[in-house]
Amino acid sequence: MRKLFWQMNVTVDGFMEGPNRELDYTAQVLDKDFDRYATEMLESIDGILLGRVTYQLFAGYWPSATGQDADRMNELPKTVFSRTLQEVEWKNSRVVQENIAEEVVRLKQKRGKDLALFGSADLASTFIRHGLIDEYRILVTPFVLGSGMPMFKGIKDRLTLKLLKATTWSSGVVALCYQPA
Amino acid sequence: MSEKKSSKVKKMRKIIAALQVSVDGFIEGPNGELDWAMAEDEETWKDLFEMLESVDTFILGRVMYPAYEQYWLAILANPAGILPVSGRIASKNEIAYARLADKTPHLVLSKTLDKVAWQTTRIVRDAKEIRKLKQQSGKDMQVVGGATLVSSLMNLGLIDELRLMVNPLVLAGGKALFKEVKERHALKLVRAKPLKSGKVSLTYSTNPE
Repeated sequence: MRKLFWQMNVTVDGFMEGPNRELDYTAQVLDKDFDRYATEMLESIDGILLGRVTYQLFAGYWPSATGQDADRMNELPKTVFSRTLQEVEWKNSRVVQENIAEEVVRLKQKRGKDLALFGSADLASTFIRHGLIDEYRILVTPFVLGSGMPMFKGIKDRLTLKLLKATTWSSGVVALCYQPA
Repeated sequence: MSEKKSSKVKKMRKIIAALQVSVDGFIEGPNGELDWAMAEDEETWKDLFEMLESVDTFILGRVMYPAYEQYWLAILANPAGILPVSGRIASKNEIAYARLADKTPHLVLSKTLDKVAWQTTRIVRDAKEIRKLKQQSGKDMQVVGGATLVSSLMNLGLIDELRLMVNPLVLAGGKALFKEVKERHALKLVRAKPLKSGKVSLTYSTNPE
């Protein structure tokens, strides 16, 4: 079965967003090392999974963005998991409203490259509870916020991980890569 | 780098907060669990002992101090005895730490604590005193914990360096290390070092240029 990885930007204290939904500090991630990583990563996948909130953020940005990564983001098939979203306009997107776990398993069983889940903390917690995530890619930005939206917000039980790789980028970001132990 | 600005300016001693955390930023599990942080790991001890070579003072908060004192005094009193909390016998690294700590001045920041059992420990009533000590000459000072103390010192701008030993697990709740930090702090990554155990030692400076 192919791999599904969850990639997210977090602060040193584990927040994906500030207390007022700020995301500005994640601009820190964007340096040459990130670009290199992103281009390779986008070549390694052939599908993107998203929750509604992250989908809407991306759909408002990528269609008008330019460059190799933007082209790839716009081309790749995107599956949005949402009970409320009625229609999706971003190229190659579709909505899945129910049977989330079954749909993810079905996607993973198809032959192909890896699948990526970006951000989408709520959806990620559902995936984790169903044991659907094969790899965690945590991009730690050098900030402490004190409060905000935690990356593991819907998890109740301890999760043991195995470190695969820790890479340092020139921006001061540490890319931590784990798999479930 | 910035050290060579002026030979007349003496480098001030640093206050370093060094703690074990989970990937999600907790220093204790939802029920105070510390088993994961106390698991014996040679590289973690080596990393700590290396840092302690440049440290001459330990700083603790009131909440953490009593159990800390009890634990290390128990080892000093009987290095071969069964320990509180862990329920096992002290490792050679723990014995070495207890002996080092016994010779290292400790400060406990507390408005209410009225006595301590360890002769090496002094109660400090106000963080101003820590600021004063920081301006005196000496080696670096290490903040051992816990979360409330680290947050208060962060809020006062008294932490110069964070050394986080990120353990490969998600605790999914518990005591968040930076829970009482009031505003955003931009950090500068100094070093990221993965250990064989799967821990990653992250060092940040709190004073980015």
